[in-house]
Amino acid sequence: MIQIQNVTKKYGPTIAVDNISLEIPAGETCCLIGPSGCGKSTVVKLINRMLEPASGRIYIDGKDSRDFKPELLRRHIGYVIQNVGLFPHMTVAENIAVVPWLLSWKQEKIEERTEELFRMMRMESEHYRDKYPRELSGGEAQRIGVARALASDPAILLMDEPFGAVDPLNREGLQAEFMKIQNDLKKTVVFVTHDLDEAIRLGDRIALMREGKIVQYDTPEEILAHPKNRFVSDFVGADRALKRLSRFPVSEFMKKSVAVRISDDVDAFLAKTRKEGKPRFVWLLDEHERLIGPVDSRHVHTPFNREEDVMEADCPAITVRDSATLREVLSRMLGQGVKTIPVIDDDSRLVGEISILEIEKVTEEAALEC
Amino acid sequence: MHRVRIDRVTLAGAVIGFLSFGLHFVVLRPNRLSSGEGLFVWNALPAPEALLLALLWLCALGTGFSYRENHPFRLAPGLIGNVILVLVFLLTARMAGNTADPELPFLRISIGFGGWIMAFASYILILSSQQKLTDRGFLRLCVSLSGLAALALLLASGYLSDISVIKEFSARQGRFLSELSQHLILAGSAVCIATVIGTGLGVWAFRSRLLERPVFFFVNTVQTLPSLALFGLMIAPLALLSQRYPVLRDFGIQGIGWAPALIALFLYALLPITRNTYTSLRILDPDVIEAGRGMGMRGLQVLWRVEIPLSLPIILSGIRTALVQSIGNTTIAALIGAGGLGVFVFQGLGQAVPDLILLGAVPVIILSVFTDKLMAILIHHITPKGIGVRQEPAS
Repeated sequence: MIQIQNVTKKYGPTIAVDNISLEIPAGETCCLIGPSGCGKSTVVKLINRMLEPASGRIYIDGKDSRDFKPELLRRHIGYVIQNVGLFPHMTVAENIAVVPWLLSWKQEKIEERTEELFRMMRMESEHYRDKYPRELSGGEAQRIGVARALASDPAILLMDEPFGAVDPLNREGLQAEFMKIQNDLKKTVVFVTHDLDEAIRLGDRIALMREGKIVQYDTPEEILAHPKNRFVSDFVGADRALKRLSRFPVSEFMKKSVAVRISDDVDAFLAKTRKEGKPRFVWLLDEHERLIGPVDSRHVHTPFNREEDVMEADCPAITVRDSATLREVLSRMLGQGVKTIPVIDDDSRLVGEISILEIEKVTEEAALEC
Repeated sequence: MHRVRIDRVTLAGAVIGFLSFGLHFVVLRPNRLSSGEGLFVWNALPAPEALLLALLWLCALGTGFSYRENHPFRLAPGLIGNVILVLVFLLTARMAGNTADPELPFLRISIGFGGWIMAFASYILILSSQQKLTDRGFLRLCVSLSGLAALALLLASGYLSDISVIKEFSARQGRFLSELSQHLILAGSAVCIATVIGTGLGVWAFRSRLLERPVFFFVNTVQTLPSLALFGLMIAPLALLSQRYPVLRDFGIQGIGWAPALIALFLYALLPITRNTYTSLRILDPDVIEAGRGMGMRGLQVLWRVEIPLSLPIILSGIRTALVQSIGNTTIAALIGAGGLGVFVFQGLGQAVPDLILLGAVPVIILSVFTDKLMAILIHHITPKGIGVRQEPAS
């Protein structure tokens, strides 16, 4: 848990952080957001004492941060910065091992932890460990940046616009991975961003800042549903209902789908669904449960003919990953002109489907709240 | 298959080698001061030896025209070059030994312009092989050093003692060694002091916006002064000082001698070291420093683990420049009585004895080249593998 109490920070005559108080419960992600120059990065640097406040106190797990030497404090707080800042003269593995080395861990323990982090980041250790940072792409470098911050398994993670310099496609991937990791690890995260969609997607709470002050500190739902003032509602924009959909992971709203494996008795299965009358469309899978395409059970040859009966479909375009949000689903539906979309997992196996009906249900509830 | 190509470097060496036949290979003088008579290869050497040289150059020309990407061909120019290099000295020495005449006890035989050009051309052949053997460290080393090593052996065993420049050397062996060490001490200590103060100035200039301009104005101005002028400039103030405080004279500090030379050499060495230190700090990525601090490194840990490994190669290459430059400039310091190998150069100039000039100049060249290579190897080994800019590979 991080408690910030009446903290002020000045740079000469300018007040960067103006008497703010903020409490971030353990295991939650708090996104600091606001226009540039609002003091959000300063807050992060005050927490790990890269900067010292002019006044006020910061408590970490109930202890005053001033009671620790700054270096010792920082070794127990993970820190990720926008430009990654990997050490160019160290290999990837050495970069990850910096904090454990500072904490004088045993070599075997460092080794074990490094391997564990490679697995967590879904990166192949043998392929990456002896590379140098300049041989990595932007996305890979930032994954290593996150791994380095997590190396000593700190309870607190400070992330200062970590995905800001990554291209949009990679950013989505990094965000999804971050969500997955955070679901497992339950760190207390302070996440600075200027991207509202990112804040809505990742934050358990959002602190919207302006000119060194916190304007509203709430859950994303609350901020979107009840903007406190004109500044907040302008900031979240007129499409807040749409933005809100980013809060809902597809995995929580999808239904089971009716599917048949091509290696099974497809004719018998289709005959059965025809008799029961629904569903009209079933998904045809290959032997690895990967999607081949939709089949209209009322218009098939007997016996079933794969070439003619499967509707031609561009599978990647009509599917979504289970890590996606309802917002992406809706966008995909509008783009492809379909009302139902199959959901696949990381290994491209079909895990369910989602239709426009589920999304409508969610937006209706949201409308009621407003 | 191995394609046959024209090898321009070897070819250039071979052409220069052949041109050297048109110049005097050796110079015969009745005594060390007289102007003497030049002899071409075919006049100076017995026919078989002259033919051997011509044949070797023909081989070099041949390899230059029909180069193949395989081992024998990559080695050939270097091999031929080394043999010729040794032969130039050995044959001259033999010829000198054969012409020794009791009636002409002061007869001097030196390597002529053509001989030196031939030695130079043979070195081009060696360089040509070196270039092609970048992947074979050991072979490359053999090619670059075997001729020089053979010459050193010949020199040590007295085979070359009939050549005039060696006679000059044997006549003043003791003096040579003391001037050589004086040379090394002067150049070395100037660079040592410049390293301490130059790195300090570089850090200082980097930290303070205010100092950046004056510091670089100063070191740049010093660098534009001709070395002779700088040595001269030192004389007056130091003479004045030692006059006012005679105690300084007890330490050897006066208008001429080692003190003004050391100061001038030090001032010269400042620019490359200060500039490289400053640059190395300038190009340090502030994010990397921030990450280091943010991970919980102490100030000294950031310095030792991050800042120094990243900037040391650049600072060292500044020191490399300063060293090579100092070794050259120290030669001129002999003019203000500081000693060093320049003593022989200026004595030789004064007495019009070319071999005495060579006795001073050749060791200076060897020293510079050797120091340069040594620093290159050091920098190569000290540069972290992950840094994009790598120094040229050491040979």
